[in-house]
Amino acid sequence: MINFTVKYYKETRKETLDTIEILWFSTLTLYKIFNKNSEAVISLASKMLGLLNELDVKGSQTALLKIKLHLFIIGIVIKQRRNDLSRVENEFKSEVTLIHELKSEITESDTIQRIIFELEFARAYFLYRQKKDKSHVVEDGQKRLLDIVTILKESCDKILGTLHYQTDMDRAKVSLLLGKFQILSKKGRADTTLKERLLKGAKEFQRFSTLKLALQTYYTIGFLHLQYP
Amino acid sequence: MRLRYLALLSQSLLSKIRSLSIYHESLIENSAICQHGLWTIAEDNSFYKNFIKDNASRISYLDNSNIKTAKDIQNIYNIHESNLSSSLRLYLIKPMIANTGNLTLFSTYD
Repeated sequence: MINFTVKYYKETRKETLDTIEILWFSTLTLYKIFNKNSEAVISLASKMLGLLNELDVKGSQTALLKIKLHLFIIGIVIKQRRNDLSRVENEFKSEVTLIHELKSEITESDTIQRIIFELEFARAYFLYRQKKDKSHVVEDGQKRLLDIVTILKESCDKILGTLHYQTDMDRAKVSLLLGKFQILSKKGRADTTLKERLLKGAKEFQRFSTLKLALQTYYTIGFLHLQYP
Repeated sequence: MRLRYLALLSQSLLSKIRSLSIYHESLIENSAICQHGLWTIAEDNSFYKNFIKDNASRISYLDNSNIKTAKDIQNIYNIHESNLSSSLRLYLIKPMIANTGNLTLFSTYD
């Protein structure tokens, strides 16, 4: 006699991928918070990227996770490796190229715009750090400074203008970088619009409990008032 | 189940870190500590819907009022670090990924 049994696996493929998406990125973030060795953190992020390639799961979800991991690496590379800027520049470009390749797997236009925003913001921040560190001799330094404003106003602001929700925090970040740049450039005038943007941004940072960024914004407002009373 | 527990643990630790203000995102943070824009967890993520949204589930011992400093959180993290790293073992994940969730008919003989 033949008995038939119907079995249903509790965790499906999608549920597993959903869990991994959250688990791996949180694990990496915790590792970053408690491990001060940036090379080890980048190594773990690279390992995760390798494992995701090995899993060989196609689609928007895994492509987006890979993109986040590349952006995570960019964040560390730009902030930590300040003594070898040409190496940083190469690594930055390499990560950006990989993100652009993965971007073609993303289907949601809103997500694509947000990825482009993150890339443009990272590029502006990278140029700002180059100028701030002053260890990098830039022949066309003034042009690069203008590039920062162009990227932030013409690219980042415009992208955020096309998105319909959840842009306040990103707008606050753009304002803060514009303010920081204004202090660094020591040229031109900080117009009222920028000060108002900064004040709005500071409140947004507070709303998200990102108090470090809120403090930086209030400091920037104060400094601009001193610089351009 | 194990992956779910670890995901819940990692999310609870991040939540505690945020609530105690022991770590704040930088201007180019790009990590899971961010909760805006590209970094928001998708609404259709099943783990998010079942365990994170509306604080549906949490690791209760992290609510202990004695846990209030970065060192306290780090001690808990250190205990679980190897468990969290174990989630990267592909030989455990691959069979789960291969499962499409379809009903499977098994036949057995008496």
